Amino acid sequence: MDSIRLRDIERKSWRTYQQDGLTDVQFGGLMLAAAVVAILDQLGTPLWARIAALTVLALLEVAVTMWMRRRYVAPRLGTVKFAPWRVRRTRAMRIMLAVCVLATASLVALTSLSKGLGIALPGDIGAWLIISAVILVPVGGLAVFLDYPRLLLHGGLFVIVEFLHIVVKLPARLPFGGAIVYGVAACVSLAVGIGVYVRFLRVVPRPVLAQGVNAEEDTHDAR
Amino acid sequence: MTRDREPRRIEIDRVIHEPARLLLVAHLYVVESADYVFLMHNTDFTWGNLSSHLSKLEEAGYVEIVKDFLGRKPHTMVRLTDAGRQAFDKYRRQMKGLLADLPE
Repeated sequence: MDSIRLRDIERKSWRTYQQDGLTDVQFGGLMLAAAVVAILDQLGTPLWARIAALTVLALLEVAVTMWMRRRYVAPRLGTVKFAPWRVRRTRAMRIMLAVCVLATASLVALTSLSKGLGIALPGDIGAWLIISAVILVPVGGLAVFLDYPRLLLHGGLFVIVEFLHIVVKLPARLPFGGAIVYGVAACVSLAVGIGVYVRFLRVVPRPVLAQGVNAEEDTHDAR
Repeated sequence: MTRDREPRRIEIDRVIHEPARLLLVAHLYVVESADYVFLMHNTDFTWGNLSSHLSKLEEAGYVEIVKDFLGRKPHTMVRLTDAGRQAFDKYRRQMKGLLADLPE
């Protein structure tokens, strides 16, 4: 028998659900969506179309990962309702992350509209530091409170991407520079996520249930 | 003259005290509810083993087995009852009290 410390058992149960790599795939998908938007930007697509494309792509990748989770992960890990304190903490962190993503999007929009609106922004490095802080603080918080250290990798990638965008101004120097930077970051995140996911599928087999029962549908009569 | 005396017994809940069930109850204690697959994955029990121990816990009134449907598929969730939680709390206190005074 392994450790029977309740704290360890709860933590291990929780972390099990982070081991499928699909959250990493979601981060990679978001970066990929940003790369597509950068390509549209380079092609002169209007702002509303870029926002629509980003929204559709983001929703699509969330839907795909949710389907993968339901189809391939749930039958292996089962279903659990965590304790209310864990649920509350997760919800608070998600709200915090959503607020910070919105703040980042607003900052990016403000940066692109600042000339037209006559708003003076802090220099490039100032803007980059603000955007980095807005992303890194919630991602760091999530990494600690959700016991999910890999989130720091994705947060770090985002900070590097924004540095290349805002400070180095790569999109202006290189054709499709923005798309390339987001694309490379997306490849890193996706490679990590897909690697973890494939490993998860290999290491965690579908459990053998009672005869005639598969992992997707347990049965009332199995006992 | 010797007197027949009952041997001293420690009042430990034998339903929970059994190592496999202790592990099972500990896993159910830290969550609200879980299904069979989750419990099998986290305890490394087989289906039969798990069913057998859950039956004993259910007989003691320590777990509740809720059968419903996820979409059109039957789905069974297991949760510790209030009596189960109280019994586990009591067991923890007893074991702490019992073992804390032992010399190293």
